[in-house]
Amino acid sequence: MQTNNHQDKNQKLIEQKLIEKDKRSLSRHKGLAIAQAKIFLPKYSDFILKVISNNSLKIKHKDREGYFIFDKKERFSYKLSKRAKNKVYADFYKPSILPHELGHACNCWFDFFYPLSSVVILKDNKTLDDILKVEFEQKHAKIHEDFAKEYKDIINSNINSDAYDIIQKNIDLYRKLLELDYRSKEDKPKRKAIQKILYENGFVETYYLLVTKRCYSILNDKYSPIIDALTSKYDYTGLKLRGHDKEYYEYRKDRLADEFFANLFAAKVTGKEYCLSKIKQLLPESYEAFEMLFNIFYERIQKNKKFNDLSVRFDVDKPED
Amino acid sequence: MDPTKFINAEVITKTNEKGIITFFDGDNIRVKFENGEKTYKVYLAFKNGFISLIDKSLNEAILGIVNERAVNSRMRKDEAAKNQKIAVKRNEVINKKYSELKQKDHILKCLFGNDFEYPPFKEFKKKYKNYINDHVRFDIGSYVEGYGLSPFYWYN
Repeated sequence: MQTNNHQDKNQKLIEQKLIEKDKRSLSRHKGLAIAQAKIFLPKYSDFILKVISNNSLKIKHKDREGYFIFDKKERFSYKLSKRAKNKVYADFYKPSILPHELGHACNCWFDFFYPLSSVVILKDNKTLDDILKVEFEQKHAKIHEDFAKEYKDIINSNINSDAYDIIQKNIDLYRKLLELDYRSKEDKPKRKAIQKILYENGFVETYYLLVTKRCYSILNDKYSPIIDALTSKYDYTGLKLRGHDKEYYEYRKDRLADEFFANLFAAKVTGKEYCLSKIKQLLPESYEAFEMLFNIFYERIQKNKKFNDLSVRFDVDKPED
Repeated sequence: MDPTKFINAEVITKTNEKGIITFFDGDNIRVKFENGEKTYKVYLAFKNGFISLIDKSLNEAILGIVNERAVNSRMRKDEAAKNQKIAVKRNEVINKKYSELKQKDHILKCLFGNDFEYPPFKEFKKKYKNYINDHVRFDIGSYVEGYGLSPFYWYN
């Protein structure tokens, strides 16, 4: 059992490791490393330290962004010394980004094209990806409807009673405006026309209040894994909800499970129990599958066990080592 | 008050020099002395008693004019000071409103494109262009960062 001293020591080690990984950004801004280390739950500090200490994972600061880049050169291998040299970029001014990107790094521990969520068989010959796809397909419509209702209640109570209707009626036009280039002479008259309509319809004022009051941030905090999954089915562009877009999920079919894993991983290691309980309520089987996968990974990292005893599913031949 | 009744009236200066008024129009007075004519401003000449009329009733009449002018002058100064305060306050209010609208316009440009002009801001600038002091600066960076002002940024 970890004592408080041990956890404090781990926190300091996380700070030092982050500074070591990105000296250029953090050596003069140690406060950022401290804030970043503090976001992790003390009980997972040892685990996180092991994950970020791995020499094949680079961690760098990137303003206002967070993403994971895989190494194209290395092949799949159970041996960590031979595995891919992946990179995580995160904005250290927003500590909540790094846990999510570390979730991607853990999921793609062996290979980007063979993420744990798609290859590790959990139960009934199914991976997290299989379980999530089935369950989400059955339930996404109801989840979207309930979520939209909650979004409407929050927006209307914080702005005015017509706010949600104004946004819903004009959001498509706003999305069209976003697609037009303000630098293009051809698009200029179209843009002016759309801007005029949006102003006359009250969308400009309502949207300004939506952005400045930030009432959507409660939903982002509470529902981020769900919202991200919903963006694979529904267009939430412009609503200020945290997620990707449909094209992102259409590019690769296993992205739903990958993002789901990363979001729940971030919620778990940062102690956002309210997020996890919401997922447990809405997608219980997928949540259970995530817990299994997380524990598999956690145990092996903590005990320095090999991964080659896992039941895995590959499209190509299993690696020799 | 008929200025002509002061013509040919006798005056005496503080230096006991006697003379006769040859011209008077309420603001200026010309006096003929033994050694020549001199012109004075009525207000200045009579205010400190440099010149006084020998006829007491005429002297009182002219002092009445001088005092009325002094009062009017003070009133004009007070009025000017009050108007200046109002003007300064009005400028402050206008520029404060201007900076609020400018900030809102800037945020809306981030949301709707750099080519968007917030109509109330445009009208305000047109109406109060003579009063606006456009050295107003504010840190847009923190607003852009804080509000996550692009649809594809990571929102908190």
